[in-house]
Amino acid sequence: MVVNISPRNSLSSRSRRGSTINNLLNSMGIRQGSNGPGMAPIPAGSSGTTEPLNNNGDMAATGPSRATEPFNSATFARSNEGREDMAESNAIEELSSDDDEVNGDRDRVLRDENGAPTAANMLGTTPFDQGIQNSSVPLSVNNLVSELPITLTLGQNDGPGGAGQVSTLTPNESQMVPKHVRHFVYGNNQPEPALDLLGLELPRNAAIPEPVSEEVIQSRKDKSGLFSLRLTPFLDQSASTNPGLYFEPIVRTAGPCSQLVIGRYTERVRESINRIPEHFHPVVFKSKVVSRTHGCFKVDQQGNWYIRDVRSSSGTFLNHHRLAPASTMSKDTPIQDGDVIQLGLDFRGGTEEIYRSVKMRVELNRSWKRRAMRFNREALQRLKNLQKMTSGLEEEDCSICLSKIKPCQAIFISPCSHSWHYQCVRRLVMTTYPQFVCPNCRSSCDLEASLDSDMDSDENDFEVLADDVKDIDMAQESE
Amino acid sequence: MSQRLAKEYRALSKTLGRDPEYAYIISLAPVSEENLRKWESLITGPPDTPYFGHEFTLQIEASEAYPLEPPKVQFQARCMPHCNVDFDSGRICLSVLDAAHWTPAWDLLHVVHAIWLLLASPEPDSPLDVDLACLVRAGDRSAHNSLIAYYLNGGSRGHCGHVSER
Repeated sequence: MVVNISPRNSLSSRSRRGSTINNLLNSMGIRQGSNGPGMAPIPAGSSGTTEPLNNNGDMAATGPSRATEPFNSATFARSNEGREDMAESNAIEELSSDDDEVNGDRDRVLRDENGAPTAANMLGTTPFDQGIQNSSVPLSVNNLVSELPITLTLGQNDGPGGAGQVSTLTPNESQMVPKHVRHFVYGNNQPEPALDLLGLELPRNAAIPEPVSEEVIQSRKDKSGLFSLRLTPFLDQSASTNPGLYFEPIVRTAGPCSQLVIGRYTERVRESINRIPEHFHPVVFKSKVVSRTHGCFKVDQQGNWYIRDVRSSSGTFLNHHRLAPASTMSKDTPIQDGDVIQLGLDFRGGTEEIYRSVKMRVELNRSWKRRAMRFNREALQRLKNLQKMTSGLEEEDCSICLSKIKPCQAIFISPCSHSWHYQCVRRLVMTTYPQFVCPNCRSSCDLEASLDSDMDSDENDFEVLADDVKDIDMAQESE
Repeated sequence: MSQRLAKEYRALSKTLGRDPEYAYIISLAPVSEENLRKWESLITGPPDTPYFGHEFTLQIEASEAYPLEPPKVQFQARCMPHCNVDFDSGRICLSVLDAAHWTPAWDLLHVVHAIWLLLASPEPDSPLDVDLACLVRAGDRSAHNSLIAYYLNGGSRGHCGHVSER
C-alpha cells in the first residue's frame, strides 16, 4: 500500500480525527490523487464547523509544493492497485462525511488527549498515527514494512500560513529552503521515479560509486529488503576538547532512494514521530548546535549512502572536512563505513550538554552485525570449559537477564569463574569497583588484584587445575 | 533487561503447580499482562505454624532496575501478624529484600520462597512488630502462636497501642 502524507493531507486528516475512514483515506492520499480540488478537506482548527475551506483542497491538488512530489508520484505510479479500494472508500467517505458535525466535539477531545496541536504547522503525521488510534481501521500495523513509504516534513513551518508558503515556491526554491527538506522512507519496491526524486548531486571531485552486482546489493539489504545505517557516538576521551554529545546508538533502515532527515529533536518532532517505529525515524539529536533541519542522509538503489548539509547554521563535517560553507547547500557526499561525522561545533565551550556538537561514527548496511565464525564459537566454548573446570558446573545462561550467552557477546568473567553478559553485570561491577561480590556465589573478589602472583601459588593453582582438566576431558569424551 | 520478567513469568507458568516444593504458592503472576512490573502472589501459611490454613496476598513491584535492584514486596496491609512484618502497612523486614543483600541471580520465586520461610522462623532481632518479637525473645512460643492465631481469626488490633519500629 502506498501511504501518502503530505502537509496538506495531514492537515486535513487532523481536522477529522474522529472520523476514522476519512483519516485513513487522507493518510493514503486518495483524496488528493483521485478527487482533486473538488473534495475540500476541512482546515485544522475549525473542527467544530463543517464549513469547507476551498483553499486547502486547492493546495492539495494545484499548489503541489513540489516538495510533496515524490510521494504524489508514488501514488500515481501505483494507483492501479488501489483503484478498487478507492471506489469503495469514496463511497464510505460520503457516508461518513456527514458525521463531521456530530463528531466535532469528539474531535476536539481526541486531539487534546493526544496533545497534538491543532495549528497548521504541525504537519508530521503517519499512517501509524491513525492506524493505531483508530483500531477499527484494518491497517496491518504488524507488517510495518508494507506500510512504507513514510514521509514527514519536519522543521519550521511556523505560523498559520506555513503550508501556504510552501505552495508558492517553485520546485527549486522549495528544495533550496532547508526548512522543507522532507523525510521519506520507501519500502523495498520504491516507485519508478524515486531515483530522480531523490535528486542526487555528487560533488565534482567525488568518484561515482561503481555499479555493483545484484548479489552485493542483496547482501547489503536486510530481511525486509531495506538498507541500514547505524550511528554510534564517537566520543574521543583523549582529546582536550569536549567529547561531544552522548546518545544511544541510532539504527535506521530504509529502502532504496530514501532520504532521512538529520535535525534537532524538538517537541514538534517528537509528536510527529511517536507513532512511527523507531528505525524509520528521522535522525534527531538533543543539541542546540544541530539545526532543526540540519542535513539528510540519502541512500541510492545500490545501497550507497550519502550525506548532505542543507544550509545548517553550524556545519556538517565528514572526517573533519566541512561539507559546505555556512548556510550553503552541500552536494550529496558519499559516506563509507567507519566515517566520522560531526554535526555543528561546540558552543560556549560545550560545557553544557545541549551545546555539544554531535560526533558519530557511521556504519552502513548491517556491517556492524557480526556473524559468529568458527573462531567465535570455539572461543566461547573454551570459556565455558574453563568455567566447568573451576566451578564444576556449566553455566548456560546469564543469571541476570536469564538469556543464553552466545558467541560474539561481551562477557564478564569474575575471578570465581561465574560469567554474565557484560551489559548485564556492568552496573554491579561499576558501583562497587574494585570490589565485586559475585551475584551467583557471593564470593567477594578484588578486581584490582595484582596480575603477577608469586610463583608458589601459581604452581599450586596449576596442580589443582591439572587434576580437574583430566576430569573434564574424560567427561567430554564420555559425552 | 525488560525481557527478564517475561522470562520469569514463562518459567513460572511451567514450574508452579508441578514442583511439590512450591505447592504452597497458589498463584504468582503479574496483576495484568500489560504491566509485568506489578505482580501479586497468593500463598498459604507453612505447616506447623499458626499461619497454616490461612492464605496471604503478597504485592510485588519490580522497579525499572530489576533485577539489579530488589523488587518491593509487602503483605496486604493489616493481614499479617509477624514479628518481621509491619502489621499496619504489610512491610517486610527481610535481608534478601534489602539492596545490600539482594543479588540479581535471584528471581521472584526465590523472593516468595524466602518470605514463606520467614513465616516459619521469625527473627526477633530486627522486629517490625515489637509485641510479637518480645514474645519470641521471651521464648514464649505458645503465647506467640496463640496471639497470631487470635489476630488471624479476626481478633481486632488497635492502631494506637501498637508500637512499631520504623
